[in-house]
Order: sequence, then C-alpha cells, then structure tokens
Amino acid sequence: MNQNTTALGSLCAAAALLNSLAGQANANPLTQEYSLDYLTNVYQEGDIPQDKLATGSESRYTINTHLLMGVVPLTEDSQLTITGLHESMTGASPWYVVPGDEGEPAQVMSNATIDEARNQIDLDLYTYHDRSESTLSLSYSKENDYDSVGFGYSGAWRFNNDLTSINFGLNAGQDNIHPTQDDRFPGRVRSEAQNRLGGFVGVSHIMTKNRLVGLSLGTSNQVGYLSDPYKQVWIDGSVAPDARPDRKSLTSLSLMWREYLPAYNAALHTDLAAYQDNWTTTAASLNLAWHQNLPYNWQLVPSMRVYHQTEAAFYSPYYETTRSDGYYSSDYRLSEFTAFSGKLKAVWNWSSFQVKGSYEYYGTQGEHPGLVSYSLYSFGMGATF
Amino acid sequence: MNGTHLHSVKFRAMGSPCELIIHTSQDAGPELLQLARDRLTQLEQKYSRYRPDSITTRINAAAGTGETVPIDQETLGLLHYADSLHTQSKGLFDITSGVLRRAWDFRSARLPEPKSIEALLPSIGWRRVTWSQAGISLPTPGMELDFGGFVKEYAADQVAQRLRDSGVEHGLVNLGGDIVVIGPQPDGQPWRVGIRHPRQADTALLKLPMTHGAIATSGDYERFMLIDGVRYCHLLNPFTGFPVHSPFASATVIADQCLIAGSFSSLTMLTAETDPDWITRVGLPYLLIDQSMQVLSNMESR
Repeated sequence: MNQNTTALGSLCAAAALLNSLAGQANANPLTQEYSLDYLTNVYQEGDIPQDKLATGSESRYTINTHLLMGVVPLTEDSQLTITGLHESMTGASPWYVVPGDEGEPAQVMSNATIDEARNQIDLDLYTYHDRSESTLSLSYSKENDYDSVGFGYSGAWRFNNDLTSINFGLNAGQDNIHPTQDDRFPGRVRSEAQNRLGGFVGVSHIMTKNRLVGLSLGTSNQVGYLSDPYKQVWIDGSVAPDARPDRKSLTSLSLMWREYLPAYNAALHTDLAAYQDNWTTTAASLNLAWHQNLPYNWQLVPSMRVYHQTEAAFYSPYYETTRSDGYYSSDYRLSEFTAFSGKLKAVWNWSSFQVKGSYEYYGTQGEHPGLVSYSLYSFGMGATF
Repeated sequence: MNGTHLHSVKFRAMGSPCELIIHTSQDAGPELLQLARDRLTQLEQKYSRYRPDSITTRINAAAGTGETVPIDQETLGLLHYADSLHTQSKGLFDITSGVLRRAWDFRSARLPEPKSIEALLPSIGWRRVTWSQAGISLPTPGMELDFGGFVKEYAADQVAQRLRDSGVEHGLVNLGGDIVVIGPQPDGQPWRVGIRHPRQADTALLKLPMTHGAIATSGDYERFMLIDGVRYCHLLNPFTGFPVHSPFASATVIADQCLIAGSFSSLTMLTAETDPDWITRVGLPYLLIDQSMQVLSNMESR
C-alpha cells in the first residue's frame, strides 16, 4: 500500500520540479506587471589634499541624484520603461595643473561656485519573442550649458534550446555644448557639438544550470568637439584651453563568468574587460561580485573592482614646451592611474516590494594631483503591481 | 460570465487530433488559442524525434560518441521526471525502450523475429544513461531517448497553464485524449468527457463529468495487431521486448495534472500483467475497462 502512495508522491514531486523548471525555461520575461522604482544617490568626491593643491577650493563635487523609473506593459510581448532623472551638482572642479616648486604637479581648482542641475528622460521599448528580444531606446538630457540626445537599438537572438544567445546593439547620439563664458579664460568655445556612433556584438552561453559565460566586442567612434571647455592647460607659464583631437575610436573586449554555487546559495559574478583607443589609452578592469542569498529574503552583495589605464598620447599634467600637433590636455581622466573600489549592497524583498541600499568607496593612485576619490551612498525602493 | 464567447479550434499535433475550447471575450479568443498552439508547437519542435533540430534528435545522434549534449532546464526537468517514472515502475517505464519500435511494426500483422528483439535489448537501459544538469550522454550507439511516453500529457498541462495565465477560466484542452479541464463551463455545468469504448472507435462507453483537473487514458487499442486471436499492443515491456498482456483494455486516471494522470494510466497498463490491483493502491480516481468490457472504478462517488 505504502509503495504506491510513494509512487504518487514521488511523481507529483518530480512533476512539481518540472513545472518550476519549465517556468524558468519558458518564462515570458514580460510579466504583464506594472512596476515603479525610486532611487536616490549621494555622490561625494573626497577633498583634494593640501599638498597637491596649488590654489582654489579643496572641496570637490557633490552630486545628488533622484531617479524614478516606471515599467508599463503595452501588449503581451512588449513593455515601455520610462526613466526620469534629476541631478543637482555643487562644488568645485579641477581647472589645470601647474608645476610646483620642485616641478611636482599641483592642481588649480575652480572656486566652489558651480551649482548646476541636469535632467534626463529615457524611454526604452522592449519586445520579446520566442527566439529573440529587442530594445529601442531614446534618451534626452539637458542642463544649462549642455544637451544630449541618444538613440539605441539592442537585440538578442537565442538558439541552441535557449542556451546560447547572440547579443548585439547600435547606439548613436549627439551632444551640444554652449559653455558658460568666463572673462578669465578668453577664447572659450561658444557652441560646439560631437556625434557618437557605437556598436557591440557578443555571445553568452548557459554552460550548465549554474554557469553562464559570455564574451562581447564593442566599438565606438566620437567625432567633433571632444575637449573639455572648462579645463585649461599650463604651457610654459601660459594658460590655454584644453584641446583634444576631434576623433576618438575605441574598441573593447569583455568577458563574463557567472557561477551559481548551490552549496553557498550564492553566485560569483566575474567580469574582465580590456579597452584601447586611438589616443593610445589602453585599460583593463576586473570586477568581482558575490551575490549572497540570505534568509528572510535578504541578499548581500559585496563587490570589488580594480582598474588600470595608461595615459593618452598627448596628455601631460603640464607642458614645458608647445606641441607640434596642437593637442593638450591635463585632464586627470587621461592620465595613467589605477583605481580600486569596494562596494556593499543589501537588498530586501517582501512580497512585491523591494528595498535596497549600498555604499561604495572608490580610490585612485597615480601621478596626477587631481585624481579623484569618492563615496557613493545609494538607497532605493520599488514595487510591482 | 457576461460577454464570453465560445472559441474552439481542431488541429493535429504530436501525432494526434487535438482540440482547444475556451470561453472568453470575442476579441481575445483567436489570439489566446494561437498563444496556446504556439506553446504546443514549441514543445513539439523541441522534443519530436522526427525533427532533425529537436533536442531528442541531437541527444540520439550523439549516442555512443561520448559527447555530452547540453540540455536546458525544462529538459532537465523532463529527464528527472522520467527517472522518477523509471524508479516507481521498477524499470517498466523506460524512456530508452523506444528502440523496440524498430522491431515492432504493428501494421505488418507479423510478429518480429525473436532475434531482432534480442538485438535491441542491449540498447535499452535508463540506468546506464549519464545525465545531469550539465547534459546527457547515451552510452552506446543506437540507443535512443523517446519523450513520447509523457510529453503529450506534459504539453496538455503547459497549454492549459498558458491559457489560465492569460485569464481563461472556462476551457478544455484535449491532446489526443489527454485532457485538461480549466474550470467548469460558463454556466457552471461540468464538461462531459467521453471515455472511448476500447473495441469500438468513435464510441464513448461512458461520459465523466469534470469541472477541473486532468484525465488521461492508456489503452491496448492505440496501436496493436491481432495474431491468432492474441492482441499485441504498443505497450512494450522493456525487459522482454514484447507487449504486455494486460487484463485491461484501457485504464483511465484522473489527477490534478495531465502528466500525473497519463503516467498512472500507462503504469496501470504496464503493471497490470503481474499486479492488476496496482492502481487501486495509488489513491487516484481510476476507471478500468477489462477485456470483457466490464468497468471497474473507484469513482462511484464522483
């Protein structure tokens, strides 16, 4: 008697497992649910050390961000995501670098007079099909001296029983800048534009139930005004505008490895990336994140990132002689440096609500006196209904 | 429900006549039926052994090569289910036993040579198959998997679930006699599901009222041949390679899921040769029709 009731129990359990797996295999990613998420960030740059400051404000940028995102199902296989973002920035930014008493580079900062706001809206139309998915994106961003419009298309095509996916995308955009004029820096450009065109192609493959690997190749081209109108350079005692080539091409390669470890109820996300551009900057990064599932619907995600880049061909903290090609930039973002960051994120899900918070510290090492460190505090909550 | 309309479609899929019936709004009906058929087509393409691009064909093509064919989550779930079926039936339900089809041609009206069956028996044996979430590998050339023993019942559940998820509250999914009922009819009346007379095609021996759940029947009439008055049916014993001689002409089982109903109706037929009371100890509603067309059932109270 017991034997056959065991048969029923055993097969019902196997059928229940099958149903849950079938759900994963065929889950229509569009849940037909509305969702609303709110996220706020405080980005706080560390003060510039006194021994690296020539003149100007010690304190740097603080940026407060508020983001609201809503997902609206349109049809059974499509949904629209609308994201609105408001950022307010205050603080000072690096202007240029001068040689110190012993030739060591020292940063000249703006005074803490910058007080700006930026607003952005993004629309993403996502459609899902049995074998493919695609996203059409439109983006518009506006601040007092700058506006930007972007367009993107990305898609994925799944095959091999949905185990393998080819991913691809194209994006294009135009940025227009109308810099605030400053009598101290005559010759600052009045109105400039740059165009962007990029694309990527990649493949991801589910190797086992617990392992996902991927590879992606990307390229991007920027043409137009690529200098920073608010940055200057010191050339043999004179100050001149930042002047970069009007074309930048870059290629990137990234590798992804996701491993779910059932014994720990956790997943390790590993990402490696390499990057090279025609300004001779090469860069590489390693990102490790441990997604630990915990009781009571908690998840903790500690992560770390290491990044290194070489300097651009025409970069120098300051210039003792003029360059024949006329290109100058002392922007710390074009210098050689190594950056480390550590982050801890906590997520709590309850029914259809989610609350999350994170803290990240980012630090840099390199020769440039204006290299940045920052703390990023983030808090968000969301609901589906 | 006000404003609902009857929408139905008949078609052939998975080698069987199929019918979908739903009551829903005038506009949504055709789209919902198509949605359901899309899921069925997806499963048929994925598991049919007749399609060169199916996972079944790929697994079978790699038999004996040492290659581990990667599988997705759904296939892993089906293999796990097949494994449970094998265990619970003490090996009588074996998804590697489909190779016997090569020896048994039920249209030929001739018994196969014993030698041809003996030659196939080494290719049968689920326990020798290596499988895990990483993939599956059949150990010997010529070995074959056949999901046909339960994928139609699984498909009926999946199609019904897709309709339920889309808001259908009154409907019926019939895939070649594997039936899932989605709620009662809109007026609250049960659906009346016919149980086929095992010896008279197109005749219902009786009708069962159903408002929910699933019903499946396994019979010795599906594919068979009569030789010297002996009925040889498609239900093959994987240990002997010969059809089971069940005291039942058909076994019908009702369960919440068609997959469960179908598995127990098949197991009832397979085990009945040695243990005709097997199904009476399972705890599911059953209806058996014996070779003299007598009905045995625990469903009087239904």
